[in-house]
Amino acid sequence: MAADDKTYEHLLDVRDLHVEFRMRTGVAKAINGVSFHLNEKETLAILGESGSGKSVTAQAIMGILDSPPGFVTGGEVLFQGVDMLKMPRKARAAMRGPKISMIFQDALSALNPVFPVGWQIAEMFRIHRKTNSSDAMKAAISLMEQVHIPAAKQRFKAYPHQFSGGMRQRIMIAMAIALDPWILIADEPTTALDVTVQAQIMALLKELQDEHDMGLILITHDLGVVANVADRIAVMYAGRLVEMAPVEEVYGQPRHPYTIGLLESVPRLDTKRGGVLPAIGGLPPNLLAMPGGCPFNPRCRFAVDRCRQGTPPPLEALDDGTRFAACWRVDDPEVADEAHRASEGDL
Amino acid sequence: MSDELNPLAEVVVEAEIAAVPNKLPRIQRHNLLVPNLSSAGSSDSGVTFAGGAQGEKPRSLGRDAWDDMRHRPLFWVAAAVALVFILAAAFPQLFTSQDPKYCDLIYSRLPPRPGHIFGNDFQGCDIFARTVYGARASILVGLCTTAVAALIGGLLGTLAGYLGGPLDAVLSRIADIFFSIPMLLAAMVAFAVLPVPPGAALPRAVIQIVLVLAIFGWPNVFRLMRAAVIQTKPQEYVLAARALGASPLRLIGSHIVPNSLTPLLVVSTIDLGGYIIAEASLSFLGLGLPSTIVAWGRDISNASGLGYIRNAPFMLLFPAAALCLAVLAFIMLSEVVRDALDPKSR
Amino acid sequence: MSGEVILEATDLVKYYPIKTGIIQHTTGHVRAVDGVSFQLHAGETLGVVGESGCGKSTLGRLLVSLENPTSGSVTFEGLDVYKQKGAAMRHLRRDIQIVFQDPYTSLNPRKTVGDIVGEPFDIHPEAAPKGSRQAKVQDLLDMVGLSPEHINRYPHQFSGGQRQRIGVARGIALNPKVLVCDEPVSALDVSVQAQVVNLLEHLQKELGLAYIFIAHDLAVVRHISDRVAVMYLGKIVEMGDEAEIYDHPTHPYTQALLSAVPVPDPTLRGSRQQIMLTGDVPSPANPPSGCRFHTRCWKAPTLDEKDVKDGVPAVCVNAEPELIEHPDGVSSHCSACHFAGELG
Repeated sequence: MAADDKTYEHLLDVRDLHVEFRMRTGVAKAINGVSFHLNEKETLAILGESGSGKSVTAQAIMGILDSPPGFVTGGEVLFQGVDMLKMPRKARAAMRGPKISMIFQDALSALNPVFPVGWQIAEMFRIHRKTNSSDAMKAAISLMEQVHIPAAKQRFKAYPHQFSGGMRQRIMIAMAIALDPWILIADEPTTALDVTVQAQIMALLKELQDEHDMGLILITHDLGVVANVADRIAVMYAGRLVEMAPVEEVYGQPRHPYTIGLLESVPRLDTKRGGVLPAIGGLPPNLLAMPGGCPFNPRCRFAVDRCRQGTPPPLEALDDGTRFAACWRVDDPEVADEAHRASEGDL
Repeated sequence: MSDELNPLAEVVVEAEIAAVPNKLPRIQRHNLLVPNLSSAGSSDSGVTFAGGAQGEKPRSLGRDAWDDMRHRPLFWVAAAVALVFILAAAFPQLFTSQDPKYCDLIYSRLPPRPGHIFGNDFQGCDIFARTVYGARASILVGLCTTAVAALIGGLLGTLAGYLGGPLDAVLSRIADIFFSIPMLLAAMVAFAVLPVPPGAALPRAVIQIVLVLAIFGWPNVFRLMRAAVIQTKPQEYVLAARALGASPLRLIGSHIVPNSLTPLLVVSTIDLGGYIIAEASLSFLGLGLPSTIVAWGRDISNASGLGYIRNAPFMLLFPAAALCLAVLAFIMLSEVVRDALDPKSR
Repeated sequence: MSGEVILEATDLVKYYPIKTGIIQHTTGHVRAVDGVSFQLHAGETLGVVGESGCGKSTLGRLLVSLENPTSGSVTFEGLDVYKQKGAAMRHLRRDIQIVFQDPYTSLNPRKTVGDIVGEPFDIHPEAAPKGSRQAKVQDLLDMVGLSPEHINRYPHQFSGGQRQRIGVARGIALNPKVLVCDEPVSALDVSVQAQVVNLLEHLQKELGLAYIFIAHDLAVVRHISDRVAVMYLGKIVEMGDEAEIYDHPTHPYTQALLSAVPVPDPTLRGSRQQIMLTGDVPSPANPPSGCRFHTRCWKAPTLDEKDVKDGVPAVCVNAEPELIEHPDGVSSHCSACHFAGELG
């Protein structure tokens, strides 16, 4: 799927995306000016806690935002240079599957319980490619084999509830890659799974990404998973990107105080018991009543008056231009020093 | 994973549903954001952060439900209509000075006019007065039957759901049997066998109707209550109380029942309308209330003769409209109450 | 390890009957907990880790007598917990309390925080003299890092982390000696999770509590535990000091579990040896014979044994390994594997 006459810079380019939820209780600005891009075959991890807007970002890109109450109020989502937000509804829907597809955390509720799984996978071919049923069935079985479902042929007619959590996740992945998409968005794909199964699924995603030359957007809150698979990381907080950089740099020397705090607060497998975990104080902000200034300032140990007064501009390029952060004090030696200690893990 | 602010988590769930061909019932969408009243709790790292430490009133779910209802026009309309009917039932004199039983054949079937805004019926009685006084029997039967059915069904449902086992099996089968008998048919048989004596006073007649209707109405409540209790019983807050050594009475009274009442409340308000209709149907059929008691059903029956519908449609229109309006008001009320008490909207 | 043994489980078994048909006859059993023994010392933390379905939550509920065991016993300070009745049982409940996983379902939505944290005193009036209740509740809220002014608020007005603090306050209200924490931080975000872990550690120091800390997050368990028990399909497969388990695991399951945990350090990518287990955990209704792990064991096929069935040593299929120390050259903690040994 090489495009020779390449007229675009990035495979996916999200520019200044804004999403809000309009409710009776008020307007929640779930995403406030998020910009990032994804290159071909690249893995970008969007890291954030619940309520940070990471899943909403994915839904806005996919065009599956529940509306109302959710509305995209600004920005562009360029897929191969074409703004998907300006596409007519039908054309947009036709993108889902062959161009971009998505997998979810809860495979059980994402699969239709009343149809056999094989049939559901085959359906993708019948609808999008108008394949006849026997060919679609063959293609579905080969897909099930690709995602390593044992005895795929026999299990073609099994129903979702007859599979374990890990197997269901594999089936959902099979459906997502059925039409050979350019981009796969994985929204917390392993959160509901046990550690040993989680490792299997991540390995499968990596394998399929290489086989199909897909760009992968991995949405997660798990710092460990990200470290193992991502090329670049975008960290979200309260509907904004606060830091974006290649993976080694985020872990090696985080630049935003939130990222610093996050890395510190994760207990690690290789540190002995005891000691106080350096937690980030306070709570994530209420989207209906954001604090003034930088949204992180009430929890930030480096906050100064400037942070309380003005919102830092979204993601400014630092140093060499491969990394970005949205923080007033990003060049402050005090912050840099802490960042260094956080990455060393010797607190 | 889950969270300090889970609204978006909920949105995710919805989007997943939307992304799948088979649409599951939509989760209610309003109020997605749980107000995150992050007023200053000192955190372990010793950082006290400036949250909104504004002193706000303690809020209960009941209060929240009230706040929710208060902003709905439908609630006010339904409540106002229901209130008018209840007032009419309690103090009919407030609405009319006419005696519904004072009838003068001179006025027979005269159409609405000043002084008799709903006109007069076949016997020359004032239809407005009869409509106002008719509310009493209907509302009384509706309210009492609802209360009795809720009491029987709620009590047995709680027992069956909490204790389970053979008791549950027996009660459930009994409820199934009663549930399978059409209420109106059963009531007709009951009144045919044991009619209300002619000339009986209102309370005596109402009690009999209430008992008959409630006997066939409670299984509805029973089933819901049983299901709600079974759902609430394994909740972790109930387990926590059990781990503390709480007695079964405490578990039921303070944890299980208060959290299982919502469906009962909702279905009871819906049933209320049903009972009013049932009473009217019985009166219409000449069963139930004796003819000496003013009731909508009997008036509707009297007005339904073929000639009357053509020549004096107002005779039928006004009591029938009153019946419809009363039932509609209670059903709308139940809808608003259900929405307001829905925990998912919290 | 500190103090004397205060809680001891011996051969604890819990089977749930599987009922089918209209007459509800029992067709089998889910073996949720199948012969678990351990000791808990005063003031220490015993971590219990395992994947979903391994029986760790059932174990927690057995310990606080929310379930009655199929067989086996639990003794608390020498008293057989399941033989206590009436007042003695009520008194015992004051000493062993529990904190649940889900901060959303573990608090009664129709009660104020004051009612929730004060309920222990309603049930055990002897624990708080009349009139001192309100002050006690406020003290408890303060202790768990919540403002005592919040006493009249309802749970839905709090965030997940704050609710978990309320649950902890209820758990420690009666001054228990043992607190069973059933996945207390699993539902929380990373930054909030650290706050709650710190709170639990702080309370332990302050009150001398012993914890049974049940979780699936191995890193969190290591951080908080003195000793760790690893469960698989209703059994403890390995148990020992935190450092022994994490640095010198000898059971192939523990080894695989530890290697599967993604480490938040991209520089280790590729260099870490990952043991990939195949398949899923078998159903606890029909666990494999012999060693329950033999169907997924990565080590069995690598062993050079004479008597082999389908690539797995016959002894693993036929004989259930005991949870014992393997002294000769292997670490000194207990491991239930016929071929226990550290990774080469």
